Amino acid sequence: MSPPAIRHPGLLLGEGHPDVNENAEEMLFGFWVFLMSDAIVFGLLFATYAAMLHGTAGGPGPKTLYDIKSAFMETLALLSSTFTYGMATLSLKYRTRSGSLITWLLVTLGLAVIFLGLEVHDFISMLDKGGWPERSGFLSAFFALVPLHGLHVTSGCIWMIALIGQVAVYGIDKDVKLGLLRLGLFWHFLDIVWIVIFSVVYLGGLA
Amino acid sequence: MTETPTPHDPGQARALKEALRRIAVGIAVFAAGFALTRFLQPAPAPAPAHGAGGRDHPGKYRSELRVYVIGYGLALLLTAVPFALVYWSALPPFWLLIAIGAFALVQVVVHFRCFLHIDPPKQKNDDLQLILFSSLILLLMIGGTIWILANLAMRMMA
Repeated sequence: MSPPAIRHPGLLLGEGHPDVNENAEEMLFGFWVFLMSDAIVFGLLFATYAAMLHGTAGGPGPKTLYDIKSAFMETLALLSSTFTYGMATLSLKYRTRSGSLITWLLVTLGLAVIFLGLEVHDFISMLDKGGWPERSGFLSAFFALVPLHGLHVTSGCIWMIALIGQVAVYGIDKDVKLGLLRLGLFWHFLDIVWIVIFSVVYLGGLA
Repeated sequence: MTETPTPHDPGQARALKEALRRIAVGIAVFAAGFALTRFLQPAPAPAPAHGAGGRDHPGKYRSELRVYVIGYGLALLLTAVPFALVYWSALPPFWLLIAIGAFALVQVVVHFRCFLHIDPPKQKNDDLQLILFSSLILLLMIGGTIWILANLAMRMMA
């Protein structure tokens, strides 16, 4: 009788990767616990934002500060990066072509940099319009929530660069595979958080 | 029952009814999203022979690729529609908010299904219980916070 198949969140690498299968279940479960606790942090910041939405204290509100087109382009960049990360995981699993894993990771990284560039540009234009975090409760809540997601994306980028470096030095070994699987969960999770930010903060603020 | 100071306040009753209606719409959309993603799930592939490598299954590769492509397409659609509704103010504000919430919920389900590969019947119990427990905590904390603070704001303004 064969051992029970391993199961964990994210793409299962399957039987072609017996080296990973020993540790994948507990490592990805542990990382999933972290992601769920991170979701609660974001959830509470969303609740704070919703409670502070009308606390503009006479300062600028969502309609003067937000740029919906820019937020939409950020969403497209992040959605595409989650898809290209998925392609990277698939090329890891099926080893489609040598180098294509790195290519997809670099594309993902590029899209994430575009996202961060647009977001920083948005923040600067908000500051120009008088939207400082200390201006009102609404702005404090905004700057607690949205840049925290940006920081997560930044750390994801650093992690991705580190993994690309590890592929270059060690090749695609067990630790690199487990790292790529965990970064995948992190990346797709950040995309979900952004979808909620785009809907609640940007679309909801301008509806 | 005696804790409600203004049981005859029509505004409060209307607000409560509106809140209940929003919750009902949200749950309905969430259920519809789950049904949709179940429907989109590719047919189960026959179990591979033991010991065969993953790279030897071009059919499996294509079906997994399809899940990502479908997920990406749905995500783009579910982002573009609410964006267009808001950009051209196509609905009255209340229905606009309902539509935004509905599209966001469906999209979150699509992401869980297509990118994170969370598939309830096939998932390990620990993973599912963790997701359900975290959702419960989130619901209690977010719902409780918004409820209490909105109620407080209403009383302070009155």
